[in-house]
Amino acid sequence: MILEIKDICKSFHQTESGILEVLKHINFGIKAGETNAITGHSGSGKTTLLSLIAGLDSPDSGEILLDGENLSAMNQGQLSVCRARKIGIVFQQFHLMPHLSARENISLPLEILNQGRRKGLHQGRSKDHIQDQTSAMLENVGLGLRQNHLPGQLSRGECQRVAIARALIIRPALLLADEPTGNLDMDTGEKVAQLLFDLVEKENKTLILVTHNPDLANQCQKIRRLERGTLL
Amino acid sequence: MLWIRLALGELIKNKGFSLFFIVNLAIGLAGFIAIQSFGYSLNRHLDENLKEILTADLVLSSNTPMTEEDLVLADNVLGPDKTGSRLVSFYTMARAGEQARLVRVMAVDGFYPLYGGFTFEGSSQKTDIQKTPGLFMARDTAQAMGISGSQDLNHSLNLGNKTFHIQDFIKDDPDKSLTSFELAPKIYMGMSQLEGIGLLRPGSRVWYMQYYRFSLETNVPGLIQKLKQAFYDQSGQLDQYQGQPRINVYGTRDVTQRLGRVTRHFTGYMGLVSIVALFLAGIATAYLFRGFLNQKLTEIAILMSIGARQREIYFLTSFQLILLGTLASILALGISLFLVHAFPIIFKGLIPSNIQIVTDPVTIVLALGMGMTGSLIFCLPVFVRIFRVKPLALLGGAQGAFWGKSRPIPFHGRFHGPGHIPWKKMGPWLGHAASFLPGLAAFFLASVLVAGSARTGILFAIGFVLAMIVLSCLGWLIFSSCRFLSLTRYLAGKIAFQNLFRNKWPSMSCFVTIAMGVFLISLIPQVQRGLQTEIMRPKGLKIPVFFLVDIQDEQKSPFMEFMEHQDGNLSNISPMVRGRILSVNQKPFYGKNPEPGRGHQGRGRRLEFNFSHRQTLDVSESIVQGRPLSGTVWDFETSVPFEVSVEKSFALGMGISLGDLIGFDIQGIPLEGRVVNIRKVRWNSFQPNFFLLFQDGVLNHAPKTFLASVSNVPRDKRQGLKNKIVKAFPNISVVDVTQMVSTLLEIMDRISLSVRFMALLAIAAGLVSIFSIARHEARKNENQVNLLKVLGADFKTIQIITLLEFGFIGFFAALSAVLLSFGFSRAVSGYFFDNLWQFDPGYSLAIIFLATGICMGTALMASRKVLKSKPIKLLANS
Repeated sequence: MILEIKDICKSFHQTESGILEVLKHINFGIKAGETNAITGHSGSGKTTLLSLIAGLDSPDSGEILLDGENLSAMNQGQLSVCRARKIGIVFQQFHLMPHLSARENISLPLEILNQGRRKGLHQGRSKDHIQDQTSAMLENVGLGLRQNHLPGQLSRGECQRVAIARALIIRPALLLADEPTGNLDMDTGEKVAQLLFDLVEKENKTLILVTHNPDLANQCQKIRRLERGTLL
Repeated sequence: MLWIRLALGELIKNKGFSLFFIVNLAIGLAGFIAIQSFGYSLNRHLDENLKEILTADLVLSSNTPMTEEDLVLADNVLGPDKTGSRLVSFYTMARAGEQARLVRVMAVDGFYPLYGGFTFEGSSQKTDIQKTPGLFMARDTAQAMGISGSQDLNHSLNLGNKTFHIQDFIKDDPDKSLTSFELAPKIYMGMSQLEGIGLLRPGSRVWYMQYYRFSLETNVPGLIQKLKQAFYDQSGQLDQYQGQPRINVYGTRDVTQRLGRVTRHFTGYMGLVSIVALFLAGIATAYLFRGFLNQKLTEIAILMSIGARQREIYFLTSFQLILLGTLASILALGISLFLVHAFPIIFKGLIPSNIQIVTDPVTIVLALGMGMTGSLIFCLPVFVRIFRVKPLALLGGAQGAFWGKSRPIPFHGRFHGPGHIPWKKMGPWLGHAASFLPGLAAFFLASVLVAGSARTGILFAIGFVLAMIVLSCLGWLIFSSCRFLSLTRYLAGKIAFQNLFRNKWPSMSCFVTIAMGVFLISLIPQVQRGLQTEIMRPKGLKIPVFFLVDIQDEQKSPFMEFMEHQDGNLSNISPMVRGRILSVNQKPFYGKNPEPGRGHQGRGRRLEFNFSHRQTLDVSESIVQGRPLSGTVWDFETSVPFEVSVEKSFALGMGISLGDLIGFDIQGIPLEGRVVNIRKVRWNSFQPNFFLLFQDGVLNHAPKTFLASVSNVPRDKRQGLKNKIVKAFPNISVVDVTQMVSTLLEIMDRISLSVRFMALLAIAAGLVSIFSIARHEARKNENQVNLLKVLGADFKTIQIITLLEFGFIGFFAALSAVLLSFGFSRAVSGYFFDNLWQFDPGYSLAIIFLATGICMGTALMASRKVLKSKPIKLLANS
């Protein structure tokens, strides 16, 4: 198993309504190279689950094991390193660095990894290697000709392609996608989704996709449905 | 390198922010740097010219002629390796024909000056002053006495009983003080010319100076100490109490300290105002950074989501702030180079005219340090928001709000009972409050350093913080009340007041910044106006026309009779006897180890004091503690101490209290008096007044001179009366009070101008702040502006909204500041200037309306781009 979720609970304290249990004793595992969709209504806990898997938040109880490492036991610094090495995230709003070009946005995670290499945290890559990998990734997402454009000069679909390329460039053990087509029109969304699945297949990546879109979910090997914090 | 590259990329992308940040901080820093450079240049000038200013390495000074014994003692202590010179100086009246005026006679020997020299218009040498039986003076002095034209040289001039001729005009002389404001111009003559002049009488105020110059390797400070000790021991053998010697010994180091105190006064107050400018710039800087950070938070969260660690984010942001701060420092150094050249013009007459203004390396390093750390310190309260950035907010389609109420606060499975203090919740607030502390500490520290005194610095800082608190509270109330004003049906008003109410914090930042600038601009002239009025037209007092000095005992009756036939009223004829204070409560007054807790600051310097007696107090005097002196004549034979009245500030400075027993040496006779009252004197009455008044009978038989004043002399008869007095009584010095008042006012004007100049800098910093804030607010409201345009609002309506918003802020900020400055100026006048305060409605109203207008104009300029933007942007933004 590349990812094991063991008895995860997560609650929030709310001023008016007291304690809100968002995730209740969630258990599941994902094999390497598997594509999983997590679906559910708004407020069912999908995004919270994704944030816990991404190490962006910590569970109240339970364990999340990614490639054998317990994310729940890590501090913020260790989680940052883990994200830099093993997790790629694609956001609904793309979240690109506005002052960096498409090429620079894509190469950024590798450069962050290289910073860590200098500090002996993990093995890094040479500058040429980063350039080659970025060029290859730009070609993979079909943006070879738009590489020097800033996000403001790209269409939404192109922005999401850049975001996908940025997430995949580190060759992550786990790719997380939060409504990757939610901010795109149907046609563009379909093209982006196709690209995402093609690349995941080509690179043999493990994907967890959070979506409302049943068509998108159906393209995954497994669909897990969350209902009021419980996995059905 | 990655983080540096990213940091630079962001700054280049946000050019507007970077530019405003740099300009804003630079304006705030420029005043501070300029003041430091000015202070440094002034001190350097004094250091380099100290020997020329003093004209020697070591000086002995006394108010009585030095005896042979004194000079032998000095000779023995100082050794043979020296050269010496002598000078006798005093004020007297010089009369040329029908023109008479007060001059300062400088009678020198052939060796004077030991350093520096004279420059004459003619071919005279410095030794000619001693050799030639004539006078040497500046051409201006001669012209003031009506001597001009081809007959000016060899023109006759009367001093005392003798007639002199002008031998040459002096272009430059060696005896220089820090300022060019002098009571009277100098006239040089040879020492031998004093014989028969008839002006050196008992009681006359004369300075006898002995100058020494040593070889370069001589330890002059050591010799000063030795000589002081020798004179101290000599005086101890003579007095019943161990006393202070008659002769003062000092060197360049003492002069440095004395002049240093003066320069610190020049630069201290200006420096404090420059700190305010820096602080105002700091507020705007923090505000600009807040806007920048708000945009940047998403990017920070993105970086964190792809593996950037928090410390790398802190580095990135700190690097940006330090870089901007450094650039601001460099720009500030450039601006200060222009500013410092204004100081010699502003301080004309108060500082040496040939001063070279330079920026020293220490100031450059200080500026860079302040820019770098200052930007971090000012922005720290905003910077701490990065600590709370959580990248998880990027999920779920969120676009902003990376902390606070938008996300629920995680609950950690513990139950919080009703009495539980939510420390977890308070933590961020405590942290936020703590983030202001470095800025506050830096402000206090800078104030103390700049003021050169812990007391002044802390008082200023507390006053400033208090003003900020008061203005913030006022601002809060005003902007809260905008809620009610927004109920209006008038659309522009409704939106403007809603904006003010809903954006309370930005409105308050703007309000406080403007108010602090206006507060300064308003405060200084208010204090100055009160002082000016008090000097020109003191309430309840009548300023005399002339103040008369050195009326000899035997001249008193003839002079009174003489004045009966002249225009003008002679009043306040007061005896003056010089003497020394030997002890206070049986303890030596000049003891080596003064009693702690009592003021002794003035004791070390003053050797002799003037004593007087009067039957009734003058209108300028009032008793603040104790009872009036009894009218009975004190019996010389009695063992009961006579009664003494002490002036309030003198008592404070010398550590004298009501009931103290004081031992005096009056013309060699030891006497004891007891303090029966403490008196307040309004010195600006320009009437003869004294620190110490004695009971009737004490001074009756002592050798004395008299002081007096003359008032009610018609303007056109004044010079005539002066000439008549000098002709009939050549030794009596007539001080022209009107001229003295105008000199005082001129000095005050210069000082006030310098402080106002710095206050203008504070206003400039305030204006940049307004511009920055208005620009930021306009951009923030861009969607609202465009929406209004889409809904059909015309350009004018939108413009009115902006004008209303910033006009409202400007008007109430200025009004609050003016009102607050009334209170502060009253308190300052009460504390420092004896309640001299006067309200100037015209000036205050002008400030209020000008500040409002400037505020509206600046805001309009700043928001012009947004106001003119096309509403199509709304679609793009959505």
